[in-house]
Amino acid sequence: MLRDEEFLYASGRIKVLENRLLSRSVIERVLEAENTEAVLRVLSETDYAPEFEELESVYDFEKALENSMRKTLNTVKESLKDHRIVRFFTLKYDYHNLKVIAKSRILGVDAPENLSNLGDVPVDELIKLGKGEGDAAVPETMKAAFEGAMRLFEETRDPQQIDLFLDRALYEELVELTKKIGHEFLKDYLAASVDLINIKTMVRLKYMESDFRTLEKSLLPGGTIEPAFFEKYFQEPLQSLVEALSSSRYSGVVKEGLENWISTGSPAAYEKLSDDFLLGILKKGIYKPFGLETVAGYIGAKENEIKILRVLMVGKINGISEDVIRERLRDVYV
Amino acid sequence: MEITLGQVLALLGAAMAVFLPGVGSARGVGMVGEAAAGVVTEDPSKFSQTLILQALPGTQGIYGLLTGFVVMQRIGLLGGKLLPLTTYQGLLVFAACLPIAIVGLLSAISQARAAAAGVGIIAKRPEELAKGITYAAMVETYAVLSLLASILMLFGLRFS
Repeated sequence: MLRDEEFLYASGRIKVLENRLLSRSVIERVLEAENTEAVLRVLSETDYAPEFEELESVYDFEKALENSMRKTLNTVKESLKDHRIVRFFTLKYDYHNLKVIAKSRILGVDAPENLSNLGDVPVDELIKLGKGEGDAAVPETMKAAFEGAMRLFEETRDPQQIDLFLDRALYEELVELTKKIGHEFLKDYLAASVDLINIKTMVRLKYMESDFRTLEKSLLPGGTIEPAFFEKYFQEPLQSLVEALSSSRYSGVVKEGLENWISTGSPAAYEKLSDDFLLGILKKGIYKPFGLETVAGYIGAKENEIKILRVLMVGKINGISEDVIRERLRDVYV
Repeated sequence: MEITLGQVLALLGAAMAVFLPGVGSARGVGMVGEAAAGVVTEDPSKFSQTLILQALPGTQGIYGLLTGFVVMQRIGLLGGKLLPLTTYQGLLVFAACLPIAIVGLLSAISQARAAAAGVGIIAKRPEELAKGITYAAMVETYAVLSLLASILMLFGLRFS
């Protein structure tokens, strides 16, 4: 069990850095900006200034966002002895790369250049793994996951199986990791994210009129809602799922999100509400003076901020109206 | 001079009054120092404000030392002529040392937690330093009360 006292230095540092997270008013100003130049002007007054200044073209904004995230992760890492908390957040980038590499391999093309640099495993080593070189310096768990995914593809010839298999492997590793860290906060956060993803998967598959076997394979491990629950409600109308979850802590997300999904046919509102719900859990970190919550909350807040900026940049570059972008915007941490 | 068990117990009391709050204060000042170092890494201008908060959990160690001195003075150690205390007299001195020894240790750590939280206030709103200090200083009350109890007991004892 990690004690709060182990996070004193990191928390002190983060309390200052929290001030530099984007506030609601900065997001509003970006939203109201007339064109991409105006967006860049607003961002040049924020913590993102150095990353955006380096850009040759605004279309490369992904690079700037990635660099800013990497800076944050490095700051947190150098403030902590135990890097497992950071790993909890970076593992998904490695698995994302793994998916891209697996798919490049089955298409017989070179891995694309835009692999994420936010993971712990060097991209070059992953590419080596993709080429089938045995000496790639990739953790055993990821090697096994990659080989398992490739084997499954050989059997089924269905590229979607790679995604499903690697997603499951990622969450299995996350569950293991949170067990090892042994802190309730991360366990609770992971369980909530898994539950919300599983609910989404079930509704999506219901719309696609899939069978329960497909759902069973798509459900992620580590949630608090049992597969038996999904099996039961998979056969029933969506409204009964909403009612069944009305006394759970997801009632707000499910009620508003799913009703919106039923009426509009788009999961956008549900996704936004899920993200806001998870951010709500992370927000414990602002009110806690020092501890794991502060650190995890800050990393999560930064990821959320990057998501917001991505929505804003894509929207602004494509000239999408303010109102449409606003609907997609997530809550902010501070 | 023959050493009595009473003298040993009295000195043991004095030693505890010094070392337990001392350990608490060292830990406490260290804890607030870590949090303060984190803030100053990102914003060096906050050094002086955080330093005030860091000093707060240090007082328990001083109270302990003061109690230790009073014991030494009362049992004649400072004058070079140690009183021939009986076992029960020694136990009385030992008992008188307990309040500051125990409350000093624990309150220093509690105060450090409040002060480290106060460092967070400074990170966000440096103008509210006084409030952060006040919260941490509230804990001081109980260290002072236990010091008072220990000192009153020691001065109330008669050894002749």
